[in-house]
Amino acid sequence: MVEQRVITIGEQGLSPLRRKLENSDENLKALDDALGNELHEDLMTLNMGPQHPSTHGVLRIVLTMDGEIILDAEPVIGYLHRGKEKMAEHLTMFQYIPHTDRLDYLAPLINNVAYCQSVEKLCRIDVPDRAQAIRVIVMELMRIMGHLIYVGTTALDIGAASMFFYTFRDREDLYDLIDSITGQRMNNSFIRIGGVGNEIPEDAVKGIYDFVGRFEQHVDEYELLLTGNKIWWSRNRDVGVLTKKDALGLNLTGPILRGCGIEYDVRRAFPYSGYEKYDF
Amino acid sequence: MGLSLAALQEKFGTGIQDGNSYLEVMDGVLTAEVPMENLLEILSWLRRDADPRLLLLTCMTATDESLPEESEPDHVALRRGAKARFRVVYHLAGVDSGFQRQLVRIVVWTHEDEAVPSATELWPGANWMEREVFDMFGLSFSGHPDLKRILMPDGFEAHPLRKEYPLRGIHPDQLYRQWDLSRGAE
Repeated sequence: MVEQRVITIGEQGLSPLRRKLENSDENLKALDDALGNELHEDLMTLNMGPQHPSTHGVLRIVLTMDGEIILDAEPVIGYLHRGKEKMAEHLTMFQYIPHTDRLDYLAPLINNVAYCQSVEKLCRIDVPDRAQAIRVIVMELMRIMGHLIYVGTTALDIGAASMFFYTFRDREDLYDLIDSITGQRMNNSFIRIGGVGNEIPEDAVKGIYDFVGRFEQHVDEYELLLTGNKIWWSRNRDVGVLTKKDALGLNLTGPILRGCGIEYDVRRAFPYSGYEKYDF
Repeated sequence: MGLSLAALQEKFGTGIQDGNSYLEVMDGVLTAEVPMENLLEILSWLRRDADPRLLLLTCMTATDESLPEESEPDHVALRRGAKARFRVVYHLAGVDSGFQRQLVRIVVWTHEDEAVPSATELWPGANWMEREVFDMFGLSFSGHPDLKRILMPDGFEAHPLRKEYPLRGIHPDQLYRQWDLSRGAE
């Protein structure tokens, strides 16, 4: 360990608050020597964060700065490993379903399906068509909810607060539907190995039709609020541009990859749960 | 046309075997078990020259194929059919060939003392995946630009996804003692 010693700058003949002391390289070097620092002459290490737009406190970026210019940025993603794989080793395959809810609590049913399909492949279980269709319906409802969160909170973060309340209006309606189908608003654990938990209730079917009917008009409202919005454009356009090449090299998938101009949707590329039957 | 096991064998020799039989998965995904010395060459070919090219490394991870025995924690027995203690698995997807897509699983068997060639040259995104495998399983990757832990703290000593690592973890006092000593704490 480096022995620490308190050194007053005066010891070195420097009196920093005197006007005539110049901020010269020589003086700074004398200061570094006095403090025992072995720093690069002009580089500074700066911790940016920890912060993250969605879940505060997970991402920290260690920056190497030359004045205002960032020379190097090293992301430190924090200690969020939850050990799901380890837990899975000690559970039966049925006991693990609730854990998959928590992988993405905004779309638990999609994760339920991903896990149950893996087990079904290993055990060679066929899922009935009706259960597959119910899976697709609830997964797509979850997907709409996920997109509503993205649009709403992104707008909120750039200062368009009302957008957030509009999208959450629809999101609440969807939560009510999901609630009546699965019995829970969040962390549903509705998908079972080989099928789903229960039949969709009659009123939920009617509710889904109603929702789909009015949602189209609501999307027009969102367009009106954002698509022509100058602030939305200036805050998002040419910000954090990702090229096709980078997006592929960094293994991005889903909406981000499509946003980079690559037509790749896993539901079309490798259809599961009967997605090949639908036109979307 | 798509890729097939026969095409891979023809190009890279008969060391390549069907990996589906080990897990008995019948999901139609081409699974090739390849020898370590050919791994990078094969990955590179699939990424650059194959038809279709597999531009996307959707997943890269490892599995520990040992069976922990509580009575003898030091003894490592392997699962039936396992060829070594660890499997490193690459899932590659072709994204630029219309709607007829290709998914390929490349499997390589390894043990903890053997370094796996790094795929970061081919897919920059492999960087963090390999760091995670290093962190969780203790496998090293040769040619990796910055191989260090990514999810566990730097001073952590164990590799949590190895089978012998206990479910409830190791008490921090035990884990960090060595680290604290190395940093000069009492």
